[in-house]
Amino acid sequence: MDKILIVDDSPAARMIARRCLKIAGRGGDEFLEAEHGRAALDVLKHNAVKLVIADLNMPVMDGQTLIRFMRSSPRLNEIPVVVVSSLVNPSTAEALKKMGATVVLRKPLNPARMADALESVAQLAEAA
Amino acid sequence: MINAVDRLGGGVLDPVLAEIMEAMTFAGVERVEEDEFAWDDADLVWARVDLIAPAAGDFWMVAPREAAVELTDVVWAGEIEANSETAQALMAEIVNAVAGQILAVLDDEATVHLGLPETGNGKVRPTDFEEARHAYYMDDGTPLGVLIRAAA
Repeated sequence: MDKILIVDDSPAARMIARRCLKIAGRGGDEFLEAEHGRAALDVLKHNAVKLVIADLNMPVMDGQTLIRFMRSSPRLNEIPVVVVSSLVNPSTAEALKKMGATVVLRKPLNPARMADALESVAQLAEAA
Repeated sequence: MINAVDRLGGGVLDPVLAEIMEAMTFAGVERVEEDEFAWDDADLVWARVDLIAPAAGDFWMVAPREAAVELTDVVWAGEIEANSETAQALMAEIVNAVAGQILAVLDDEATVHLGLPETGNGKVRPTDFEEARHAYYMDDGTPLGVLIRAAA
């Protein structure tokens, strides 16, 4: 059972992410939640998280800053980050990937998009 | 900077709203005449967010409180208590998704930037700014209002 961290300030968005993960085949995993990037770093400090699902537009610490922290940390650098945001167009998706996002998804999240993202994460992990 | 009222008309808004409402609430939406929504109802639930780039202004979504609470109960399927507070939270997430996406489709190359959503109950705050009002009905008859205002 892997630990998956869902980072979003919206309880509704976290619920939708949980549902999509379950439908996409990750129902046997443990879901951890955080309301913003700072809280996510606290969760990551105390847990061996295998995958992070993160929003961008959050109070206290946004998703971009969370990714920068993770990619500069030797312990967190290898954890895949799936960004899920409404603020995504081709330009921002490219910038986010350069910053260290593994996969960038546009809201609204649905099970098919989540399944594709999990497949991409798995393929990238195999290739590494 | 792009004027939000000029650029975010029904041609941009309608398909984005339809996709997001379908994904988040499992319901379709249909545009109706603007005056079919009771904008002056004192018992509305609303969420709003500042549009920062590439268009400037603000984006509001409003619904009658009772209908918003019922919608929240459907979406959460009994996982939480549906009340005004949780209805506002759901409305905030819908506003965040719709506002972000309409900005994102305006310009493929632009950096997209929104504020953080605010929520409340009661009437929409009046201003003197240029605005456009859009009204919709969901499949179950729930009325929705969308208000887009230009920047000051």
